[in-house]
Amino acid sequence: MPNFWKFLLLLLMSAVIIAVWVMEPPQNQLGEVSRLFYFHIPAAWVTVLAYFVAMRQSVLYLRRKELLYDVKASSAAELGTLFCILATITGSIFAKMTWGSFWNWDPRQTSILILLLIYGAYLALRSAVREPERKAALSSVYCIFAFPAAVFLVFVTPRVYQSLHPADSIIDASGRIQMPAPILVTFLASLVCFTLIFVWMHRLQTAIGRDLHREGKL
Amino acid sequence: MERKPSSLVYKGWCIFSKDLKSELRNRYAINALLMFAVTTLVAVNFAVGQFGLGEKLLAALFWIVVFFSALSGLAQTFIKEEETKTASTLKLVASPNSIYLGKLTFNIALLLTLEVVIVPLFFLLSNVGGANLLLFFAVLILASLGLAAATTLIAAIVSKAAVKGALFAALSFPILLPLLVTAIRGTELSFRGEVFMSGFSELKILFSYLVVMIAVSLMLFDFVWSE
Amino acid sequence: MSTNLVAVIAVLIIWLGIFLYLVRLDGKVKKLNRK
Repeated sequence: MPNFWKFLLLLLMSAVIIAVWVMEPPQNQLGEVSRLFYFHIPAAWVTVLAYFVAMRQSVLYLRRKELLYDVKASSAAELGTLFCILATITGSIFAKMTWGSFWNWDPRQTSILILLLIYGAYLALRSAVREPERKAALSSVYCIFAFPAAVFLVFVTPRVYQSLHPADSIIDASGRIQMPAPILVTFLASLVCFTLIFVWMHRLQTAIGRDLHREGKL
Repeated sequence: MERKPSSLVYKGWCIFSKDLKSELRNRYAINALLMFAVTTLVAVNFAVGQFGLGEKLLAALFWIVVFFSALSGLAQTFIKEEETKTASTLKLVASPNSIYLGKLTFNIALLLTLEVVIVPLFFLLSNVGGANLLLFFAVLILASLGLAAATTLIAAIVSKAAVKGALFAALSFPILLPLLVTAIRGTELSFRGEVFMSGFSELKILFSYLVVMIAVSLMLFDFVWSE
Repeated sequence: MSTNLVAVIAVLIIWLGIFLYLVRLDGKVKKLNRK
């Protein structure tokens, strides 16, 4: 049955949600807020995944010039923006609760902000062009062009801002290096769920986009 | 179609000199650049007065001025083509790569001209005694080349869209951020009078950014230009 | 413990809402494709 995995997704995500609150908070010294970790990191992961999908579809469009690829690219970017906003908000809430302010220019925070800016710029570009082929070509180019810059930023900012903020090491050191089994399992399950949700939404968005295009996209 | 390297450079040079001549005639772009830069510089220094800013702020100020001036002026080279409808002729006459190189050279020239005016003015108005000028100019040159490289492609993209000015800024900003951050850091080091080698990692980053941006622009420019 | 219970129920309801919305969209898309 094709829809079986959706039913499984429902169960799995529900299980994750229950587990997130039934278990002890993952980082005891940080308290209840650290439960956000189960949602924040998968959201950030999907943001990045969505960007890679958008980039790949952009490359495919430039090579083969079929508008379906552009539909896939823009759908991925729209979803990426959504998840990016989610990731930024959950991240800021976490930052406020743990370090006292919503924004710290911490390298991770800055990176997710940059991604948000790139997504925003991409969408702004699309809305500024009317002809479908030109829209597709220009946004594909931008999507690809923004990637090296984003990579630079992700690797450059940590050096520049290291002197100001070691805050991120708290999450990395205790979160990733050793994760006890129940936490790890719940986390991975959440990651899988978020990915599946993204894939599902992407398929839907692509189908809608394709349909709009068939009827003369406005 | 055969494309010898010399022909590429020659055609690029032709495009550059055409733009140069046209610019010298009406000075539209350079005026935009200078006006913005000088105004901002004077305004900030006036507001700050005798107190003076620290090296970090001065470095940031310098690059903000250059950066925003660039945003106000560097898109002109392509927008002009679209507006005067010479774009289609240009497409027939030269290969995309040579067009890109020509436009890039023009933007570099524009930016360097701006800096020839701004740098002395900046040093005059702010109190950066004991700066490491070698490091300062190294950072300046590399970062300016990188700035031109990144914005030339975006200028081409924007020239084909609506709402050009705001869009140019929105598209450029995320892409230029790594350059900006690194340039500010390097300039700050030079203002502090640090040894040249202390800015070496910044220079490395600026250089690799420059190379990557030009390479990627060359690969992608064709897709923007021809349709 | 009860705040945790409230949180779980709230988030579960939100998740259920999202899920049902996606299922509805899914149905509409399938209908469009049959056209």
